[in-house]
Amino acid sequence: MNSIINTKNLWFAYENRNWILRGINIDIYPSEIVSLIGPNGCGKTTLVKHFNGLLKPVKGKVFVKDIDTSRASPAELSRIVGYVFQNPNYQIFSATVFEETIFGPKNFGVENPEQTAFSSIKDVGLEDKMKISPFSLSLGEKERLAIASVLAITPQVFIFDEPTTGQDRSTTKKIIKIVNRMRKSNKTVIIITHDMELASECSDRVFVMNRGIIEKVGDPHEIFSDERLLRKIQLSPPTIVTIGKSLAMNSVPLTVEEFVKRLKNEID
Amino acid sequence: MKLIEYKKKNSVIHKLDARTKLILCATLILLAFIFNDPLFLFALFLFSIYLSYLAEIHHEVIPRIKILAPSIIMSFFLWALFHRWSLFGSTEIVDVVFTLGPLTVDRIGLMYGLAMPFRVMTVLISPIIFLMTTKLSDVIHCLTKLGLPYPWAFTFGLSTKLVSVIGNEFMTIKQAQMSRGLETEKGSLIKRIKSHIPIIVPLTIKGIELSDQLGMSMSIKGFNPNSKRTFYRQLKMRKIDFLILIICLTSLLVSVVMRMGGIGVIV
Repeated sequence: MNSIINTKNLWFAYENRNWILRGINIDIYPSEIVSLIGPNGCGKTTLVKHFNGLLKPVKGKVFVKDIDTSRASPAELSRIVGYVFQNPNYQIFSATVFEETIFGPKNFGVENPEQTAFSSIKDVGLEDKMKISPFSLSLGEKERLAIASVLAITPQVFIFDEPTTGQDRSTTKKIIKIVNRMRKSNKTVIIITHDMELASECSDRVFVMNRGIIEKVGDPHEIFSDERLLRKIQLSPPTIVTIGKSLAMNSVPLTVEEFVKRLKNEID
Repeated sequence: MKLIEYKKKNSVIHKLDARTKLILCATLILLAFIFNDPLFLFALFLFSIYLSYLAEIHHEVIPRIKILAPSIIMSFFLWALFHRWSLFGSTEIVDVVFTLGPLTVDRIGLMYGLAMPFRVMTVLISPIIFLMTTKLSDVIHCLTKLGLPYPWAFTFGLSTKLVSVIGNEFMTIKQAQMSRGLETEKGSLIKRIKSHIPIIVPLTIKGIELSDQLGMSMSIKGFNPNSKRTFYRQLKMRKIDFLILIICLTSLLVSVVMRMGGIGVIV
């Protein structure tokens, strides 16, 4: 299968000093949901900013649907790769939630922008807040608004930069629901996260980054059962994985449902 | 790129007393205004680059000069073409170099055009060197030692820090809006100004939030700008500091005499 995002020996440094990315080679495939995990400052955000052209490689190449990103503008690439920034306050400026959502589709000339904006707002469950000021929303609602305003651009790839940071469990669950809906509509999703529950519940593959390199790529079972690796990158596995391991289960469970199913099997 | 931020190094410049660095910076700026001959200003510019090299921050300073390139090029053309209408210009055309439609570039205009970019760069680089080699607490301490009331010194020091923070926020907000298709470089001037609204609004809110949080955290720590303050770290002048101060004062005096004698001035 052809990858939708491909990096070839990607090196990056700000002001040409201190390499932040050191020879990254990855492939991300259409309809795939991947998580990017690793300690603070390991280069996760720097890496994904190459996917919509906000940063250009110092050495190596990045291709998005076979487009060389060093030759395309962020505006061209953002039509394919939508980026939800970590802090929703970085993008809110309009008078109403609806105006905020329609900003992107209008810029990109999306067909029927009103309808697209409306259905995006509905998708994130903010339809009752369409006419109110986005500044009066709670942090969780602002995060969902940020997602809606990128959904409205209808890109093929979504990047979520730490979507659950500072959010309560209820918002996290809503975000997981949105990601799962994206899976159903065959979108590619890249999630940068420190939330291991989110990474284990949503991802098809997990990329582990450390000090500017990809330390390991694997499915969540493989990654979260590798204690040595998790210790190295200073992350703890999801609680359910730890419980599963303590009970000496053969393969670590990633969700409560999976855990209960296995436990029932063991008892039977 | 962080705009202006203290860089911890062990260089000769870092070790100088903050007051010496401030006076050295002021001297360079004054010299850049005393002379207007391109050769003199070029020498001053080279000296300020040399200082950044001594301070081991040339890797940080040179990219900042690159950012200024468009305004430097613009200042060359503005001075070369319009110097005769400036406050200090003369309407008389001296030795035409070339004409550009109704505009004439004469020898004096060309000299001004060459000189002014070096003046602009020297005036900008000197404070950058001072701020990148001096801790914020030392900047504030130095200003109070030089007689500035503490609240003013504190506000000045804090604003230099905030410029850097706001600059970084600006870049992030710009990237967030670019990801939603905002293009700030296309279209007419009016369109380009309007296209900055999606950046300015979140930036203003961020600025207000930042100052609010700063005010709160300072209140929590019992900050009172009007109370008498003492400093844990004491500034100390060494022999090298006194030597640099003498050189600064001497060079200022000599420059004034040279200027009065018509040396280093475009004629």
